[in-house]
Amino acid sequence: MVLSLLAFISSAFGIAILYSAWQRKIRNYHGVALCGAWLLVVLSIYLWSVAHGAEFGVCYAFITIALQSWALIVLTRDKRVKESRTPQLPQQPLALINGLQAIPKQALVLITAVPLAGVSSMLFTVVTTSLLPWQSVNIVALGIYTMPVIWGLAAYWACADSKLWRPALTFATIGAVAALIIYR
Amino acid sequence: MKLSVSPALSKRSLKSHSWLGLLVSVLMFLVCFSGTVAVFSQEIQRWEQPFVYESLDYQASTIQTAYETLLNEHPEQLSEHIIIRLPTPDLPRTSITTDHQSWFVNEDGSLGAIKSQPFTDFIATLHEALHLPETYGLVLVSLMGALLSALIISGVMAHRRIFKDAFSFRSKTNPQAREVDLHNRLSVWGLPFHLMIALTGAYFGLASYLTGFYSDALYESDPMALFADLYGSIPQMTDQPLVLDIPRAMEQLEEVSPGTQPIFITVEEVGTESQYMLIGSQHMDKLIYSEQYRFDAAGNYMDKVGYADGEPGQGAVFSVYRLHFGHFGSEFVKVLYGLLGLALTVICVSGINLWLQKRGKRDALNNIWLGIVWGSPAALALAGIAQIGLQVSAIPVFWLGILAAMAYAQWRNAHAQVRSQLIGLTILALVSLVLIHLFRFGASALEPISILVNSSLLGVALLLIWYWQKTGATDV
Repeated sequence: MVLSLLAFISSAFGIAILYSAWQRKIRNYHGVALCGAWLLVVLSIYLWSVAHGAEFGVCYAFITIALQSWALIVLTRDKRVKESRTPQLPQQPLALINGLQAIPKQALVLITAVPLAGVSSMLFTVVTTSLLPWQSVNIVALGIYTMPVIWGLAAYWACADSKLWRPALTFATIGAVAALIIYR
Repeated sequence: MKLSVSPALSKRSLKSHSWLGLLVSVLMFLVCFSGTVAVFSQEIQRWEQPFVYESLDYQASTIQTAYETLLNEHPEQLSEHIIIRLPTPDLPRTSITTDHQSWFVNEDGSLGAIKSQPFTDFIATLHEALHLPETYGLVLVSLMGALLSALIISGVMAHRRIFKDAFSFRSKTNPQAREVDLHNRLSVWGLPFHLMIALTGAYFGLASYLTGFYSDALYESDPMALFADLYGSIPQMTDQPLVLDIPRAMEQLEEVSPGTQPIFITVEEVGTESQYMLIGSQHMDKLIYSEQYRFDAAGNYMDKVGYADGEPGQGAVFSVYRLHFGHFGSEFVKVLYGLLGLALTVICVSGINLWLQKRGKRDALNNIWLGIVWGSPAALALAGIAQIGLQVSAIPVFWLGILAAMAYAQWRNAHAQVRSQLIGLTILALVSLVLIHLFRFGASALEPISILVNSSLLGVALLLIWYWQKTGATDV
């Protein structure tokens, strides 16, 4: 209980210092303050872990940090009244024709970002994680947790690149090479 | 410290973020909204059948009685598996289930009421598969997990002042700037939680495809070998007695694994000479759903799968469920998960609101989105009334409710008024749901769990009244 309280206080202080540093309320020793703040945040994760074990401790730490930060944001919100009227947007009919015309291009982005990126991410994850000198079961678990991030990165690229052929070609190549390695 | 992406990369990332956000918009909103409610599925389940006998104290002999009663009195209901769910602090009721039927167990071990939780199932299947056939629905919802991680990455890359603005919230500025602040502040500080939800959410429907590839790469295309590594191999049993000795197994569990909390017993190969028992017991210091201890039919301990102290990969995979739903620690953790889930839902809504505002015009899409966002809570409460009050399936009521809200919003074409009316309808439906529950269950509705859930529903109604009064018929 005491450790949990210390962890709570540690992250609260850490976040308060981060707030002061990022809002330029601390002008001297700015870098030192930031380092100290992050150290307090890390210390809180450690204290939560000592109190509740590493698995629960990390969960409690991140939940607490999120809620404390949101609480600080609400407490320190900018209450100065600025332009608060809603601009009246012009009413228009639904541009259905424009939407339909855009479908082929958007469909290509969709195919690249979802099925193509998805399959090649899975194959890439399997091939790269299999290179690790670990027990197979640990490799599978690592793949289960990392594959969505790799897919996320691929989907992000597919939607961000102005030339769709670049991610599409890359995913197809990676997928083909990885499949070749697995099924050769 | 200068740590920022270039304006060009930020612009491209924002484009990617918008595209992905629009792609998943409605589905992501429904998954997040239903997930927030699903965190409390155990409480809703108890509220739905409040008359069931509840106690954390039970004797192993009582469980044996219930099992033998099932064998003797309902042989036609037997199947390959029997699952006995043991009482736990968050669900202090015992039940026994075959593939065909499920009963609660009374204090003396006799079989009580038939387990029937259609409203809880409605919420669970909405979150897991959006009420689609499981094969497609599960994959579609898990796809939301993968795309949520893409949204997180693109969102971080698009945000050039991620540190400088980390605490800025302009509460009295124009609605668009306020919406930007709300979206970004909730996203940035909730990032670890949202990423965890994305990764664990992707597991449920996509892991089977990934393990298919792993089976080909590492297990010579033998998926059973992979599953044996991950979930334990199936023991080959012979000459087992036809009636299990559950008390002996429970006694042995105490010796093998003291201080753990047994949560279920599964009987495999029921009624055959190769039957055996598996007791799932929760380790209080681990996120795994349970360690699985295996016993022969005579109740002799054989082995355990090894989630608790075997390879870390097994534990990591078996921790997904509790991590995703917040079913660990105290009830307070569920409340925090509820708040974080609500934040993710608000992020979905504010993201699409921003996209709609930036178009610089209003059309049918604004109305349809309004109908979905504010029609969903109303439709959920109405579905509850239909299921609890009238025993009418909640599924059509929910989806027709959302469709009606969309059509009404488009017909009225008055954003603030329609939002206000839909909030009013939700408040009315929530209060009616509580009254209907009290009327239907009488004295059972005064059980602590019923009081807790009904108070929470009234609490949500009060919060909505506050929001209703605050926003009124103005555009926010």
